[in-house]
This record gives sequence, C-alpha cells and structure tokens, in this order.
Amino acid sequence: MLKYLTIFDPSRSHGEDDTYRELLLYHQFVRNGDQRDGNDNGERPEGGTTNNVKLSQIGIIQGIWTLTQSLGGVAEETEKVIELDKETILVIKVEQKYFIAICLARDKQASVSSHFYLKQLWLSYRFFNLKYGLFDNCNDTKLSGLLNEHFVIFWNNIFLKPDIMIRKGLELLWDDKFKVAEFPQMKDPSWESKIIQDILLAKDSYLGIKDIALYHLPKSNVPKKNRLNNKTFGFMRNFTSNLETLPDLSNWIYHLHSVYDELSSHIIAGNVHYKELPTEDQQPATNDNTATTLRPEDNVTSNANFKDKFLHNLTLPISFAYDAVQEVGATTGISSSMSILRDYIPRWPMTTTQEPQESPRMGMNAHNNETESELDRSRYAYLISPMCAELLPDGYKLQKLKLKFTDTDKELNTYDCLFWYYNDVLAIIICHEGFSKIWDQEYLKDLSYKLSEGVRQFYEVAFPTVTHHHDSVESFAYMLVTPTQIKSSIPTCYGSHDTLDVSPLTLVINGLDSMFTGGLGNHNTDDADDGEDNDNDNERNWGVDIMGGLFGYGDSQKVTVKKKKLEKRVRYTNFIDSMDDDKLWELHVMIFKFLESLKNSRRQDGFIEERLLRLNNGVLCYIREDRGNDELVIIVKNWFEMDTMANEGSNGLFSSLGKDVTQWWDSIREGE
Amino acid sequence: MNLNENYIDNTHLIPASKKGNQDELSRGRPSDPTTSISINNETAIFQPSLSPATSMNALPRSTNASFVGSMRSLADLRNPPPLSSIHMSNDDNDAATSLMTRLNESIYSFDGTLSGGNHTMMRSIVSNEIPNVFQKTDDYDKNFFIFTSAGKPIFSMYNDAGDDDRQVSSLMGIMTTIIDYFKLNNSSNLKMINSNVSGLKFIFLDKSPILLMGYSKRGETSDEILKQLDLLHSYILSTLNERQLCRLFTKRDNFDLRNFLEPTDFENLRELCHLMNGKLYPDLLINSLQCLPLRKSIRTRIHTQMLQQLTQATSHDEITRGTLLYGLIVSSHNKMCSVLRPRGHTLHTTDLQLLFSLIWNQFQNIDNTQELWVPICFPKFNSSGFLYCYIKFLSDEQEYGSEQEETEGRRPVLVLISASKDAFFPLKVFGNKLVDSLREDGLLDYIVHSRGFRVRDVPAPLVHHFIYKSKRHVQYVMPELELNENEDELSEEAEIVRLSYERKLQNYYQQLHNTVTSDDGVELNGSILNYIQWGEEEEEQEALPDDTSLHFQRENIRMMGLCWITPKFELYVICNNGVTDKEMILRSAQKIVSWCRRNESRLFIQDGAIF
Repeated sequence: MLKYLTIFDPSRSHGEDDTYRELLLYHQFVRNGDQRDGNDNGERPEGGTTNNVKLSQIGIIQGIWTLTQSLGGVAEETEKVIELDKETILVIKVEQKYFIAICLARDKQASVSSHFYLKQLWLSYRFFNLKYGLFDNCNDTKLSGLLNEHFVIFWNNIFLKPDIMIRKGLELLWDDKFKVAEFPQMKDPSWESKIIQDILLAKDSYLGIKDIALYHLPKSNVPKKNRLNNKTFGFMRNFTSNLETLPDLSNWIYHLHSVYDELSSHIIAGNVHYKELPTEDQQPATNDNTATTLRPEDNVTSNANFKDKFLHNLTLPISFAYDAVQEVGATTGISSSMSILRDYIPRWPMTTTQEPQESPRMGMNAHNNETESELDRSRYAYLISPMCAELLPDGYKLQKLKLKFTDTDKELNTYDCLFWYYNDVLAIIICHEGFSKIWDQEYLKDLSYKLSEGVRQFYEVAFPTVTHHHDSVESFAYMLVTPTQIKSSIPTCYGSHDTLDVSPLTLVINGLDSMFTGGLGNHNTDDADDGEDNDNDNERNWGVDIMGGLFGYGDSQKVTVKKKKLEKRVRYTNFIDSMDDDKLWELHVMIFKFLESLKNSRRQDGFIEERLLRLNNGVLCYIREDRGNDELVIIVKNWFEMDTMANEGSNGLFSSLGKDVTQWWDSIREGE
Repeated sequence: MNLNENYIDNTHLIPASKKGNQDELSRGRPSDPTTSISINNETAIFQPSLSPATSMNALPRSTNASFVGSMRSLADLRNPPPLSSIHMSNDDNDAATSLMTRLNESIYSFDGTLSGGNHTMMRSIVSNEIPNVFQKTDDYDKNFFIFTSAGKPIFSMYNDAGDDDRQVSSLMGIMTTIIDYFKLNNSSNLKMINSNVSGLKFIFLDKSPILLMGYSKRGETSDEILKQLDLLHSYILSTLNERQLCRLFTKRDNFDLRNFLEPTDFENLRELCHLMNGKLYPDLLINSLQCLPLRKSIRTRIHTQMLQQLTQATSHDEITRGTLLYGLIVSSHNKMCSVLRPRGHTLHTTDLQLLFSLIWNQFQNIDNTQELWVPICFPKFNSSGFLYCYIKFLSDEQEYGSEQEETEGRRPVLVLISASKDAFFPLKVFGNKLVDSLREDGLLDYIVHSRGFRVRDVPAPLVHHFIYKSKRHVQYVMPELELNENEDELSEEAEIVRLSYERKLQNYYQQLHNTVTSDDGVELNGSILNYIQWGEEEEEQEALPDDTSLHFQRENIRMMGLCWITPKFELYVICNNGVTDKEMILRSAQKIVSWCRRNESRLFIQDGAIF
C-alpha cells in the first residue's frame, strides 16, 4: 500500500531557514476509513503530517543518498531503494537535482516487488515530461501545481486500484523501452505505403503531419478463449526513424490502457481518474448501487461489482449533464435507466462547420448485408480532434505533447497530437504546432477516411482467415528485449474476466460515452447489434468516444461466424494463453526472480550469460543476457510437453529448446 | 594406506564379478537422481499431458567442437592441424566423435599410474585450469562496519582500530543517526539500501547495543551479506556473551567496546572477513559444514570408541553425567570427522563455524603437548552464557613424525564441550584416554592423514569441481583443490596462486547459488535444475598474413555450471572450459549424485555417537 509521495529539490534551499523551499510536492495517501479530517480528494490537510515531519523525511532521504554515494556510489546513480522493516522508500533522482520518492508499506504477502513500483515511478516522471516537459523548463510558480495535477492522480489510481501494478507484468521492468506488436503472418506491408503515400506525402499534409504512430491495442476484458495473444499488442509502426520519445509516448498509451482497460476521449484528454466511494457509514444506505444509478450528492456513478471504486469523471460539461439529468429525474420521478436518460440529455447545437460525417464505405445498411466480412463492420473515429464539440475543453480537441525528433529538435518540443482509432488500432497523428489544417473539418474527415483505408488493409493482412488446423498454438512463449523495444508473447495479467463479459468499470464508461456520443456523427459504425446507437446517426456529435470493436475481437468474431461459418481469423496464440490468471502472475513473478538474480551477475564486460532453468512445476525457462548489445531473450516452455526425441543431438542450451524455437530465432535474426 | 582408494570408483579394485554393476551405476540408472525432480501437480504451473519426459536420462549422441580447443593444445604440439579440420566430413564423423569422446573423458588422464597408497599429487596431462569470467574485485567494493548504538566504532574490515579513527567515527555517527531516525519516527529498522545502477548494496543488522553494516558491490544477495554480518556479530557474542554485553552498555551507552576486546579478537574478526571474502568458503553460502570423507567402518569405529570411553569414564565416575555436552573431532580444513552428542541435541551450524574458525585462526600455533580450556559462548545455543571447550590437537608422532611439517597448521583437533567451568581435568583425562584408544586402534592415522577425495575419483567427465550438499545431514563435500603448481611448494607465490584460485571458485559457486535463490535467500523452487553458461561474445578474428593465428589462437572462453536443487540434495558443478553439451554435463551430474549417494555413509556423518 502506498503511504506518501514527495518531490523535492534540495538546491532551492540555501540555509536552515528556508528548507521548506525544497519541498515541491508532498502527498499522503489515505483510505476512506482513515480519513478523519480529509477533503473529497482523499488528501489530508496539514493536520495529517506536519511540515516538520515532511521536511525531516526529505532530509533523511537526501542524507542517505549522499552517504551511499560517498561509499562507492557512481556519479550516474539515479535510483535507490531504502528498505525498512515496515516500509520501503523508492527514490529516483532526475535532471541532476530533483528527487522523487514514494513510500510503500511492506507487505510480506504481497507478490508485487517494489521494483515494479520503482519502474512506475520512472514512468510517472516520463509521462510528466511528455505532457509538460522537463521540471526545469516549468515555471517555478506553476511547477507545484503541475506536479500535483500529474503525480497525485497517477499514483492515486494505483493506490485505489493496485492490480494496475500487475497488468503489464514483466514488460513494466523496462521503462525506457516499449512493447512492439508482431503479426508474423503479415506478409504484405503495402498498407504502410498506402498511409505514407496518401497521407504523409500528400500535398495537404506534407510537412504538416510530422509522423503517425499506430498501435494495436486489443481489448483485455474479453473471455480468454477469444483473446488475442500478447504479441499482437503494442506499437505497430511509425513513419520516421528519429522520434526519440517514442518509448515514452508508447508507454503512456499502454499505461492508460492498463489503468482503464480501454481508451476513450476522456481518458486521453486526462479527465478521468479513480475515486473511492464513501464507506457505508459515510453514505446513505438507500442506494442500490446499480450500474446506472446516478447520485447527485456524490456526482458519481457506482457499481456493486467494482468494489466501492468508480470512475470519477471530472469533465465539467459532463458533470453538468449529470446534474441536469438528475434534476430532471428528481423532478419527474423517472427512473434512471440509461435509455430513458438519453432522451433528457440536453443537446448542444453543433458548430456551423461541423457536418454529420458519413463513411463512404460504411453505410447505414452495411450490416444488413449477410455476406459482408467482419472487417466491414468495423468502427472508426477520432478520440481527440478539433471535430469535438466546442464546449468541450481544449484537451478534447488536441493533445499538446512534448516530443523530440532527433532530426529537428535539440530538446523536447511541443507537437499537436490527434488521436484516431479503427477498431483496436489507435493512431496518433503528430502534427507541427502551427499546422492549421487540423482545424479544417473536411481535412480531418478526409484524413480519417484515408487512415481507415490503410488500417482496413492492415487488418486483412495481419489477421488472415485460417482453417482450423492452420491456427496452430505455439508451444513456447518468448520475450525479446532489445535496446529500445520489447517483443513478447508472454500474456500479461488482466485478472479474471471469464465470468464478466465487460468489467463494471467499462460499463460506466460505456454509459457515459453512449450518452454523449448519442448519434455519433463522427463515430462510424454499422454494427448490427448496435442499432440503437445508429438510430441517432444524424444527431450531434460530442466528439467523445471509446476505441475498439464494440464486442472485442472474440465476440465480434463470434457474431460473424454465425453469418459466415468458414471465417476464422488467426489469433497467434501460444500454450500460456490458456493459463489461469493466478498461475500466469505466478509465472511472471518467477521469471522476475530469475531476472533479479541475473542482475547480480558479476561477469566481465563482453561475456554473455545464458541460463536454462527447469523447475518441477513444468516451467522450462531459457534466459540469455548480452549486456554489450543490451539484449535479453527469455523463452518459456513446458518441459512436460517437450518432444525429447525430436531434439536429440541438440545439446546446447539454446538448441535444446527445439526446432520451433530455433526457427523463430532465425526468423527474428533475418528480420533485423 | 590410501584412504581414497577405498571409495573411489577405481574399477581395478573391484572384483571382476561386480564390474558390470559398477559400470551400470557409473552411467547413472534411469531411476537414479532424476527422480528427485518430482512433479508436484499442486504447485505445477504447467500440467503434463503425457508422462514426464525422460530427457534427463537421454544419452548424448554428439560431442562438441568446443572440446577441440583442449585437444588441439595436445595434438598441435606434434602436427598442428588446419582450423578447418575442426569441421569434419560426414564420413569421418563417427570415428571422430568416438575419438573426441574418448579424449574428452580422458582429460583427467595422468602421466603415471594411480597406485594405491601413493599420496603424491599427479598432474593432469591437459591443463585443468579454468578462466575467470567475473570482474576483478576491489578492496573498496566491500566493507563491514561494527559499531555501537551510540555510534562508537568497534571494527571495520579495511580500517584497523585506531587507523583514521576520525573518518570512521564520523561515518558511524551518520549511520547511527539514520538508523535512529527510522526507529524513532517510523518504529522501523533500516534493513537495506540498494543502489540499482552501481549494484551497491548496504545491509544493516540491528543487534542493539551493537549495530552492523556491510556494503558490497560484488553481486551478493542481501541474505548472503546478512549472514556474513550475523557471523561477525556471533563472533563478538562468542567472546563476550549477550548478557555481559548488555551489562556493559546498560551502565554506559557510549561505552567503547574496543577497549574491552583483545587484539586477538580483532585478528579473528579480520580472519573471518578474509575467510568469507578471500577464500573458498561455501559453508556460509550453503549453510552447512564440510565433512571429512571416511570409510563407514572407520567412522563407526571412531564413534564406538568415543562412546565406549564415555561409558567407561562415567561408570568410573571420572566424568559425572551431564559434564560432557558434545565431543567433536575436526580434521584439517575445518572438516567434521566425528561427533559425540546427546540424543535429540545438535549444535547450530553457525556455532560450529565460529568454533572451527577460532581453532584454526587462534590456536593452530600451539604444540601437540598443549591443551586448551577456553570459555566460548555459542550464540545460537545459548547467547547468555558460556560453554567450556577442551581443545587438543591430534597427531601420531611415532609413525608420521616426519610428515608433521607437511601438516603443520592443519592438524586435526579434539574438542570436548562442557557447561561446567571446572570440568577441565575430567575432560582432559577423558580426552587422553580417547586419543590413546584411537591411536591403539589405528584410527588416528585415518583422522590425521585423510585428505578427502579428488575430482578424478568421481566418474564424472568434464567436471572441474563440484559441491554436493546433503540437506538431511546439513553437510557438504567437495573435491580437494588441485592446482597445476606443485603442491609441495609452500612459497608465498604458490599461496597467492592458491588464494586466487579459491576466490575464483568462490565466485563461481556464489554466482551459481544466486541463480537458484532469491535475494532473501529463499530457494526459487523446491526442485530446480539450472544450467548457466558464460561465453565470450563472438568476434570475428582478423586473419593474419601467415598462419600464426592457427598456432597461437587463444582458446575461447565458454564456461558452464550447473545447479541442481532437490528436497534431498544440492549440487553445484563447475565444468571445464569449452564444455557446452548440457546432456553430457547432466550425465556427469547424475554420476556425481549417484556416486555421492552410494558413498553417503562415507561422505557424511550420519548420526554421530549418540549417548
């Protein structure tokens, strides 16, 4: 459990009298039950921790840092872990002078190592850089406010929903690298050239759009049998080779995806966070806590399955909408059923430039065509674009991100980023700050169409249809960590979703979004089962949306199969995909321990270490670390299932893993 | 008489009728140690759909080009082959494979016959040296500090008391402040500070009124450093005992313990540090004691003699019941030979490690006629009081007086432990009678001259060195260290070479052990088999104008080790350089395990003499 978070800069103090200047942020995490005199946001005012205590805490951290550095520390040291009997303090030093420290209560039963928290600490700093730039470049008067806004929300989410820590599994261990999606059966990369030709090299985009980063982010909360393998998750490609901050940008997207299970306009705009519900003794006992119950006194939506936590939307217009709904509901006595509610939502007039968008390909009647393929039933739209309603905050129109392209930028530079999706594919369109075309609705629609054409082609080649016997299950799982990228087919841990089609959290988001997207002017869909949404296709668009297929990969596939019995698309699964979530996390922890011990290896530079571990629980794990080339390979197999006869004669550590592994490795090497 | 020949698998000593069985054992039967990797379905992450694979018993078919490195150094002396000859044609494959296998297995061939009773160290034809793949250690990579709760320094590994005292004092002051801060404000003890980039670890052990801190960059786990600190603290307790220590500090918080400790105590602390950091000392790493291999009948006779003498002594009222708590015979290099103990009681490993260390560091210079009566606190047995040890070195002057010089400093010792401080004379009488009876029985010869076994005594090809620990006995065995240098040479240079070799082995074992344990010392899995290979990155070698590179090509470094942890035993194996065939290594490991199990009663003290 998190205890406190602090950020301080010792260089701001010049004497004993002004040590308080060092402290830039101090936040104590408190639960509802502990909150006696706190405010709504779970923050305890001065009464909780006195300034003296705060200053003494940062003083001792600083003292420990200096002491340990003087006894054999290296100048480039940037992180330290201080372990006490009852708590662990993680400290990182950034920009040569700022310290960020977080304190965790030690729980011997906890399976999440403090190392994972340390990596999250780095990520929280990197994401701050992405949004606001370096600490040093922030105005002194604004810095504390920005730190508060960013770090407190980031860590409060983890505090309230600790399973975020396990969502990314081992991939979290490399905060400076990013996960890359792989589609081994994709033979034809022509979709990429289509995007290059039609968009990046097009006359009206050229030099305006700097880059487009594409990600494949399949839903995590689908039944396991329908889940795509983790190797298909992550970064697909971008179109420049010099985006230095690509790892941070990618990890930011993955983080949002793992925290909220999916991406929506609110999430990307940064208007969403978790909040704890008041405990029973603090709230009236009359609420039935159903998914659609809205309570004006809290301005929240709750769900019984969500363990007293809910998504708290801070978007002011939406809050206003809630109030309006509640007001109407209260005065008329009408139930809060979502379908009825939608009729009472005030409808803002559309801006004069905004026209209802129609997809040239995806007409309203498309879903009636029985022979239409699954891909034709896809949905795509902008998540963040100037096409959203004018009343929404600027964060919904575009995201200003601090990025660095090595060819043009000496340091972090501000770029305007639009977010667009097509089913599970997210595109971040990175534009120069002065690129005014993005304010042109027609241009955006055209851009959206061109992107959809490219991505549709991608889907066709990345997920070819297969007959049953061709969709083989790989007998091994791997993780390959290179200097900047992570390739992994080891599934990450999403918790048990087998009994829940959609998590309660998702329901709340869906409710909000369908309420405000209403007719979905820029939400192109022709899904047969979403007819209710389509009824309002000509209505105004709020410009808020949730990416992904409405039913996830598996379910939409299921629907299609009803229509077309033969169609089945490759899922790239391996033998671990069917593993229980508990055991899967156990496997992650075990591999983490192997990696921890590898970290202690004191071999000389220029030596490669290989390990082949065989445990009595069936795990066969091969690890190869090449520090010179910053490369790590992890391969997991089930040695109960290994065909020893087939591997006879292959007695090296790697070659003994089997032909399938060596063939995979050869294909990786060929691809480089 | 050669003790080794009695338990090594020398086929020439085995009757022809039993030879067949012996060979079968040497190869490792399918049901042999492999059964130790048992399938636990409850904890299994992966479930078998078929019966467990038996690949561990699969015989290796091919050998490996990397062995050629060793072969060439021999063959090239006569007729250097071109490098391309390593890659042989298919037609020659079988013959070449057979030849290479035989050569590989004969890497420990000797230039003389192995004759019984000859103790002379025979050098292997092929160099059996192993390269070091680990970073060089620096004195400043590691240090231990012992200080009082008031911040007064007591000891530091690289700072003698009095040397640069001000610097150490200020450092201790800061550390005490930090430790106290967390105690006062968080009611929590500081345990560890870890610098991830440099790998520097600071470990704290609070044994108020004494605090210990160790830092290291040498890749040890926290548990390892903690064990080392605990041993240092135990040493201090062994000289003072906890009650006395508390009394000293209750009266005066800022008491300077340095004034109370003897110079020999500081020497012993330094020796302990040297033992833990500069020598091959797996005792602490695998938490067990080394045992002297002896034939079962010999050990049984020793135990019988011990019991008989005790029975006689008690029946003649020479020793009152309960006077003798424990009796130990410890051979050279701290190897346990025999134990006399009351039923249901054993001494803690740490207590014995301390005792042995004390004996070899402090008392080795006394002559055979002298006896010692030493009060020692065994902290894990009872940290508040002393036990009294009667210590007598053993030797057989009559027959082996000429060899005394050789074994000087490494004599076996008899230790009799009593709770009574007045028991010196009864124990002296008992000890003398025991030694006399052992001498009369010819058992003392075995104790004095037994030298353990060598790696070549175990039919495990391509193994450079190994440690086998029997978990049930909390004891381990390992082959004698063999250096290519002449062992008789006791020069300073030889000692440096030996120390460097020991450190190298210690590094390998430490790294092997760390691969199967977590940072807090817990085994990663109840049953685990782990191969580790360290190899140089492949670099393209530039061709020289002439063929010099063929003659003087440096041997590639490719070291392999194996850890095999089961509920019954732990095995750590270091292979010769160039070995990359894991099946062959597994076969050797199986042979080692099989050999150790077969000779278990010789290699380990089963129960000791129990009264």
